[in-house]
This record gives sequence, C-alpha cells and structure tokens, in this order.
Amino acid sequence: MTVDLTALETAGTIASALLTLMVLSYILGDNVLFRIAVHLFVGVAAGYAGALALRTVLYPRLVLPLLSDGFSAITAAFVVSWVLALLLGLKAWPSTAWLGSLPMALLVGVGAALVVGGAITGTLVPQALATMDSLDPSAVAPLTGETGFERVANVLILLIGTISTLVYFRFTARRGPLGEALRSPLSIAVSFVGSVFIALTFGVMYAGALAAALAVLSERIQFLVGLARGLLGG
Amino acid sequence: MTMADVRCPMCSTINPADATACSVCGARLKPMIAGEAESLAGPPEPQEGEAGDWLARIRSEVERKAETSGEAPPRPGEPEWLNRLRPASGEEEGPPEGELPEWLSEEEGSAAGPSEAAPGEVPDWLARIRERQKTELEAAAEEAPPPSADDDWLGRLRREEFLPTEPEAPLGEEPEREAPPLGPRPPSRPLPPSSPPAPAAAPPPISATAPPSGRIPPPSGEKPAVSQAPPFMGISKDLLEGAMPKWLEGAGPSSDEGLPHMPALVAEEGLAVTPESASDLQMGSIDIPNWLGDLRKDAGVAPPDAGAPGDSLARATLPAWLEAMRPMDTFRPVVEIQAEDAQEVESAGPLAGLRGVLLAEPVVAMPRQPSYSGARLEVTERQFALADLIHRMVEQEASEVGPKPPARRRLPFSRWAIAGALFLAVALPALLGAPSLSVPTLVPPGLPALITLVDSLPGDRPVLLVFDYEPAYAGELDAVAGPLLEDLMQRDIRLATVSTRPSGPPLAERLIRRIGDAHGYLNGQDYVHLGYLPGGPAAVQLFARDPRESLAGGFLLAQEPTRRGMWSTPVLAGVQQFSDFGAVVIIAAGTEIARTWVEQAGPWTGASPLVMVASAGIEPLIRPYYEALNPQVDAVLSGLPAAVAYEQANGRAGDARLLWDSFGTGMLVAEMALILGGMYGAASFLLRSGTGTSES
Repeated sequence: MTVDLTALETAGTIASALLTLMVLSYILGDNVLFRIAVHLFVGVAAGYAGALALRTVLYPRLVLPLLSDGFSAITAAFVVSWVLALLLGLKAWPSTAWLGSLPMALLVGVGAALVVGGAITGTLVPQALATMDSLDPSAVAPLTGETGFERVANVLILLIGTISTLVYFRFTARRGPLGEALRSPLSIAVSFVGSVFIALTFGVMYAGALAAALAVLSERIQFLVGLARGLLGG
Repeated sequence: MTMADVRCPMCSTINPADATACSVCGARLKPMIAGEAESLAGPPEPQEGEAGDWLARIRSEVERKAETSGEAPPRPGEPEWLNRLRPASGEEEGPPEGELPEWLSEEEGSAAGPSEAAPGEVPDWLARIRERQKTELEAAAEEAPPPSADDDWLGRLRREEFLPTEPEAPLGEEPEREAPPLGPRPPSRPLPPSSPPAPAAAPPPISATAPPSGRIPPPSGEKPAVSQAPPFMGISKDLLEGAMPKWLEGAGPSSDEGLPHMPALVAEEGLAVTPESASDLQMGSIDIPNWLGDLRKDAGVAPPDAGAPGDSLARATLPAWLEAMRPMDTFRPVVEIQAEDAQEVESAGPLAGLRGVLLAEPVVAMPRQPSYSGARLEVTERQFALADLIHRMVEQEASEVGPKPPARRRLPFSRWAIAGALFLAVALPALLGAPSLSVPTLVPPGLPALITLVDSLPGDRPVLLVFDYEPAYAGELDAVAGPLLEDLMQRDIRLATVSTRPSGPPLAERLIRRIGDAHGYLNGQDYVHLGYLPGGPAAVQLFARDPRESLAGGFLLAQEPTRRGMWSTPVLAGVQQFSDFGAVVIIAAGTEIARTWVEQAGPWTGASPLVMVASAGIEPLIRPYYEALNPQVDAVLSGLPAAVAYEQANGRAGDARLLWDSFGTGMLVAEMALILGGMYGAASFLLRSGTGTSES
C-alpha cells in the first residue's frame, strides 16, 4: 500500500497514524490518549454531520428554492417543511421543547410504520415462504448451484434447525405440583438441539466479526508500516 | 293482665290463658310434660329430705318473720317463693297517696344520690318507720342468742388470718360436715332498689352501730367460726371488724327492713355476710373440692373494692388454649361486666325485678367482627415463599447499598500477551514479507454467479453503489469491494454513489479515486456522488420510489449543487427511476442497513440485480436472502477470502491480496488463542468440579 505524501495528505496521514496509535493504546488500559481520540472522533463526526445536513439538506431544500425561484417556490409542502423544521428546532430550549413533539411524533410514526411494513413484506413473508419452499428436495436454489444430495442435506439441516430453535424459544410448560415447569424429555432433547444450532449461529457470526476485525487490523498495521517506510525513506 | 293470663317466658308478652304458644315470638307457653308447669311457675320446692337443715332453718325463719310482721298468707296459685318476696316491697309504709314529700318529688326528676334533709322536714310516715326500726333493733339486740360454736365462723376466720401458722384442715377431710344435697337452688334474693335519698335523720352507719337489718351481730371480742364463711367469699378486714363499705353507708336501714332473708350461696359483692346468714349457709358442710380450697387459702386478705363492686369480679376472659383455638377476632376476648349500680334491672321474664342478671340477649346481639371464612386467604407453601421473596426484595430495595470497595487493580497480562501476539503476527508479513500464505484455491459458491452477473451488466446504464458503512470498517470493505469496482471499471460502467450515512460520500470518493485513477475515471463524467440520503428507512423507500425527488444535492460536484445540475450529468443520463440503474450494489457493514435496503428498495429494483457486498460478520444473516428459491439478493461478496478469489479471477492483485498474508497469520494466531483459551477453560472447569466433588 503506497501513501501519497503530498503536503496536505502528509499531514492527514500523520494525524491518521497518530489517532490509530492513540486508539490502539487502549490495549494498555483506559488512558488519556484513547479518550482524546474518542472525543475527537465524536466531535468531528457530529460537526461533519451537522455541516453536511446544513449544506445538503437544509440549504438546498429550505433556502435555495426561495433564492432561485422566489415566492413562486412557496407551496404547501414548502410551508409544512418550514413549520416542521422550526418546531423541531424549538426542542433546543426546554421551555419550548414540547412544541417539537409534533415533528418528532411524525418522524417516529412514519419510521416505525415503514420499518414494520418493510419487515413484514420484505423479510417475514418472503423468508417464511422460502423456508417452506426450501423443504422441497426437488427444488434447487438457482444461485447456489447445489446438487440434489446437497439439497437434501440442506433441507434436513434447515428443518431440524428451524424446529429445534423454535422449540428452544418455547417458554410455556405444564405446571408441576410445586409450581415448577414440567417439560417432556422429547421437548428437552429438541430444545438442546436448538441451543446447539443457536450456539453454532453465534459462533459463525463471531468468527465473521473476528475476521472483519482482523482485516481492519491488518489494514491499519499495513498503513502504519507503509507510513513508517515512507517517512524513513524505505 | 289477669291472673289467668300467661306471660311468655321468652318475650314477656301477655297471652291468653288458653294460648299454647306466644302470639309474638311463638314460644311454647304450656309445657310438654307435666313437670315443666312447675318449673315455669317457679323453682320447685325441694323435697323433704333433699333439703338440708339449712333450708329448714330458712323456712322457719321466714315463717317466723311473716308471723311477727303480720304478713298475709300466700295467695293461692302463686308460687311460694314469690309470696315470700312480696313483703319486701309491700311491707314498707310509704307516704299516703298524693302526699309525696317535696324532697322526694324533686329527687325523682334528677335521679341523684341521696340528699340530706332537715330533721324537721321528716314526715310522719317516715318517722313511724324509723321508730319501728329502732324498736326492732333493740328487741333483736336483747334476743340475740349467744354465739354458738357453729356461728363463730368470723372469729375463726380472723384467727386463721392472723394466725397463719395454725394448720388448716382440708375441706375434704371434714367428716362432721354434711354437704347439702344438690337440689334446686333457692331463689336468690332480689337486689334492693337503688338507694333512695337518705333523710337527715338516718341511723348511723353500720360501722359504728349494730347491723341495721336486725340480725344480731356477734358479740365483741368473739369471732365467728371460720368454717362457716370461707375466705373466698370476699370478706374484707374492715367488714370483719364491724366497718361497713362506703357504698353501703348510703343505703338506709329501711331498705332491707322486713325482707325475708334468703341466704345466697355465693356472697354478693359488697354485702356483709353476717354470722347468722353464714350459719344458715352451712358452707362448711359442703364438700368443697380441693381447687376451691386452694382459692380459699389465697383469698384470705383480699378485700373487695368498695368503690367499684363489680371490678372485683374476675373478667370473663378466655383461657389461653381456648383463645388460640378461637377464630381470629370473632368474639370479644373480655366481656365487660358493669358495676352493680350501673347494671339494669330485668324488666321482663321470670327474672323481672332482678339486677345483675346476665344479659344473654345483648351479648348475643353484641356487635362482633364478621367471621367470613371466605375472606381468608388460603395461601399455599409456594405462594408464601413467593410472597416472602417479594418481601425480601422490597426490603433490599429500601436498604442502603454501601459503597463498593475499590476493585483491586490487576495488570492485564493475558490481554497484553494476546495483543502482542496478534500485532506480531499481523506486522511480520508487512515488515519482512514473510510468511507468505498461498491464496485460497477454493472459489466461494456465489462468486462465479457474481462474476457472471457483472459480465452481463449493460454498459449504457450506470451502477448504483451504496456506501453504507462507517470509516472503521473501511479497512475491510474497501478491500472486499475493490475487486468488484475494478471489474466494473474494466468494463467502463458508469458509477453513481449514495449513502444513508454522513461519512459515506467521502468514503466513496476515497475508494473510487484510489481505484479509478488507474482506469482514468473522472468525477462528473464517469462517476457521480449523489451524496447523503437523510431519513433512514423512509429515505431509502423514497429514493427507491423517485430517485430524482429524494436527493437534494450531491457530493463533490463540479457545479452548483442543484437538483437539476446533479441529474443532468452524463453519468445519470437516462435514469428516471430506480430500476433504470444497471445494478444496485450495497456495501454494508451492518445487518440492519443491509436488511433495510433489501426490504425498502428491493421491490423497486425491477430487473436490475441487487448485489450485496457485506462484511464477514453479517454474511450469515445475508445468506437467507440469497439462498432462497426466490432470492431477494442476486449476489453476495463477503469477506477477504472471497475478495482475494475475485482478484484472482480478475487477474489483478489488489488491496485484498496485500492484506492476505497479515490476515492469514492473524487468523492463525487468533485461532490458536481460541483453542488455548478453550483448553484452559475446560481444565479450570474440570479442576473446579474435582475440587467441589472432593469437598462434598
């Protein structure tokens, strides 16, 4: 990995290297360098997000139409946008914060409706149908290129994993004489299989996260080594 | 009421003589057996032989007094005991009718205690009564017989009191006494009415003179026999010495004058027990049980409270064992017994005129707490345990938590060792170029489909790249997305970028510039940054519905960031809607944002493929969208190994290959650390289990 050592980029690269080292200093424990780096990242991110919102959202949508089109740009949607933006801005003061509840309610409501609707139509129903379709040994997924034997094996694993995981998350049971939950031995065995599947899933996700972190660490180490070589003329 | 009428024994209602049941309460008026008629009329007379000598003496005394006082013979049809009681009220000579003295008429209204009257205001009828009383007292004093051995009970009582060393014979060992047969109890004497206002010329109190009842007091210096009057009868010392209680001082001697003396088996509170009455009782002849004898020993010097006669009575309390068995708070534990003066006179029934009668009906009707068995909680053992647990939890909430002791600072040697090993493993290939790991020979299952998909993309339609990851993941995702971008640029496919994160557009510019420089890609001609898409899922759906209306301005545009200017660039020429893009490539590091794009924008892609370039951590959650029979994701590129394989397929080594050696050695060290850690944990568990087993 080569580093372009122009004047501006050199400063940026050195700052990046220092911040990387400051973050890595957390290996020694919580220290001032790590805290400075974290506060710097948070501050820069917030400032950048604010500036970006002002430049790419507020100015082009609330100010630029007036400057370019004049009063002809004032429409109902434009006025509603202005009112909602002003009300939302009033949340900065505690005495007028209640006025900002209306745009907040609108945002939360619309967002929740979209998320739930999208989850039902985009994930829940398609995935349930896909699970049922996947139990057909004769059907072969078009993109995986699996063979018939692999398909049967996948169907069995999918069936056992789905049922056992659902049984594991079954929290109802018959009440015993002392109030304890009584579950049949079959339910306990299937639940154990479900817990194995859940553990495997978590293990795979952890392995993926570890691989991603190692890739990032490798990139940072490569960056530091390349910077050191560039500074040292190697 | 005529003599033929019948009074109801239950409610005292007057009923006709021929009635068999009370017209009010329905109680039977005529007995079902012949013997009950007598019991209703009055207590039966004891049979001859059943009554002892004491009862015979009572009869003789009553008859003698009746003869001397000119008492009328008993009326036919009336019980004998009632005839004997009648002189108590009829013997008194009262004032003539209509000549009620003024002081009495005044006192009737106020119902106050006895008042002093002037001597000159005593009427003639009262003066006659007093004269006769005086005469009787004198005659009685002269006729008083010498105290017999049996009548000397008071003297013996005093001797026992003041000579405690004298052994007392148990009651059960007195053969010379004959216990009276248990028979009907003689009618108790009706209590005198409330003390009338005593005139000023009332005789001196009993404490100073002889008893006003005409009974002969024992001669001074001689004391009655103890056996005739047991100490538990509550005779006070003052009374034994001739003193009269204060409450009795107010009572005039005329109140008991002429009444037939009916000795009570139990001494009435506050009444003096004279030797005469004691001799009548013949208490010593009664076979008293041992427990009663013990009481007699203990009650020797306990004087009754003259001020409150009723207080000396034992309260009606339940014993402890019975109290424990009693239902909770259903009855009053103590029944208050009022003072004698405060007790009401029975006004109805066979006990009419008597004071101090146990009020059966008021006790029954006494308000009490309801005893609903259903109101009690039937708590099981488990419920009790849960309630106790909640109680302890609430108590713990209220308790103050002490300051936490400072944790002992320990140096994280294990963390340092693992970090050092990882750093060394990752840095060695970069510093020394060794070890060099071979590239993966196995191609990921979805990679050929992705390469085929990219090869089939139309060259006249731009590809939308969604840079939805944070800068922290740039090290991985830049290397993973690099081969795809390189492949697209090799085919001269125009690129448009967008991001729902503020840091997305700079990351896109950085990556495209780094890769596109080699392919001569220029901003505004070969690629364009649509910029930041604020609003989360709503903005994604809005952008998928109408891309031109959802974005206000681009990023790093060559001209003024206006909506028209951005969409008028040659890169976006021909793009009117979301499906006009040749493909949608989502580069995401999180599951949520990847799923948002699949859910919100997937239905609007049309025939355009949706490619997911994901971090290795979210690949398991993306796979279900890809491996379905009706896939929602058309291709997946995830992880550094897949990127290295893609680079090999492209025939050009990129960032993925540069990171491969460091990544490989780092993964090797991480896996070794995991294995060693697992072995250490298993060994610790086994050691703890063995220690616990040996201790148990």
